[in-house]
Amino acid sequence: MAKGKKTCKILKDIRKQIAEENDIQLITEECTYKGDCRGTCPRCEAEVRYLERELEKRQRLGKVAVFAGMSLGTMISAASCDTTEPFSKKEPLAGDVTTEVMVPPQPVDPDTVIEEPLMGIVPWYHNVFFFDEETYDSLLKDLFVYPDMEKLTVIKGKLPYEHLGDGSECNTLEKLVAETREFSAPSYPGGEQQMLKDIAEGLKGKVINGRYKGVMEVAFNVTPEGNVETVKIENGLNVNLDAAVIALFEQMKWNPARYKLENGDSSVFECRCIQKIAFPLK
Amino acid sequence: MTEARIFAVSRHRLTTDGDGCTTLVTFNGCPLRCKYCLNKVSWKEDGGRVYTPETLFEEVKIDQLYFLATRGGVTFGGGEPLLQTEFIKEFRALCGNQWKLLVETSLNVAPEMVQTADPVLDGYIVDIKDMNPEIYKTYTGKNNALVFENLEWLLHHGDPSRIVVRVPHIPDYNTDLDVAKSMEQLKAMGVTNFDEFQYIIR
Repeated sequence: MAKGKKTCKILKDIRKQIAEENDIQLITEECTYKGDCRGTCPRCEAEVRYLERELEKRQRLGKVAVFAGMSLGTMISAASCDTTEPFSKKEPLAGDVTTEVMVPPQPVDPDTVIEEPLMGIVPWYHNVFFFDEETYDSLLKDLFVYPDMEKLTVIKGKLPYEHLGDGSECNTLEKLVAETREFSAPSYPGGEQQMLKDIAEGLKGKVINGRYKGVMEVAFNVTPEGNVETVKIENGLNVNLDAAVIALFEQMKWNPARYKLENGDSSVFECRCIQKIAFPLK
Repeated sequence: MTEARIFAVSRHRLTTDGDGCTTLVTFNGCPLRCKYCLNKVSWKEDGGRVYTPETLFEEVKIDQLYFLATRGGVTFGGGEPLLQTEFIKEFRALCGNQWKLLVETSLNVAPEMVQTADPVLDGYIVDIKDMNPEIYKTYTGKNNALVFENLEWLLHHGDPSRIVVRVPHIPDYNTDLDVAKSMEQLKAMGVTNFDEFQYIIR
């Protein structure tokens, strides 16, 4: 069996095991290519990209990717691979399983009476607004997209966790959206350009080693008081720059999200935002 | 900005350059001139392609899933990777702590290079050639005093099990007895992991 085909088989087995460990549906086909190959091809690479996207979706739902310690020694033997000198005479990795899977808090019993309005409860993995039953009923059920934010999703009444779970439930969730001209997202005083200037000013003089080019995504809550909390870097560039940006955001004051009620009053809500920042800052 | 010349980036190495699935990155530049060198192209200081840690990271991260699944990562070789310690340090800052970073090295470099790189490395694959200074000099063109010094330092500053010493049978340069003596000497120093193997001359 040519070396490339053996490598291909082993990598395919790794992909299958990743899919199984993380409950991802992966349909693979037996490769019918007859000649020698490098061990990978566009189809194999596409499977890897698919797995990465699925794992990222699960991470957004609070699940950590599970990688059992895959024993390459066993896979290589199974592929009847004629390897070159082995790295060491150590035993192959044991198949110990890491089971650090974070799950959201357990859902509230649907029959539980919730006495206080659930405004202000925000899960970290979604832009979600919570309204009481009355407010929700007055909203239109269409998608609202802000130019510099991810899609917003509105959840009716109860805690959202009962709606959230695997991908299929998330799709249902995405249908529960609202559009209103009476709603305003959180905003930085002075606008986005002012925010970028302030970030640049805040980073001035700091020596930050590591990658400094790319688009960073910063996720954070803006409380009804305008404070910034629960800052998390969703797509960081390097640990030093990420930490510096988190520190800056935690000091910021934003204008909170507002919704105009039917009686003309406006009400503030906690909102989770995702802000994209392109480095280097201009 | 740190740059280095790299003459090959070889994906999907399966246990040949470290545990798990690894990508082998081979630098240009080597202080030795081994008679049976596999990578004489690495002797050309101006060969290969110029990379920064960022451009290398962008290229190799395509296999991150395999690295994480098999506890593999990137193995730096060459040439002599410990001549590029700043590059390796910056690369570590980019890839984070989940990738394993190893070096395939002769350890025949200034001690400060080893000590600078050590905090960011997970393991070493050391090709010792032969512990006998005369055999070493005949085969590589250099003496091995630095190899002793660096190996001692590594064995006393960290877990010895992260070091694998490759002890080759080199046709026309050492004998089975020489290899056995090298192994004894290395064991006495504290080396616990060995890979005794035969150079195959084609």
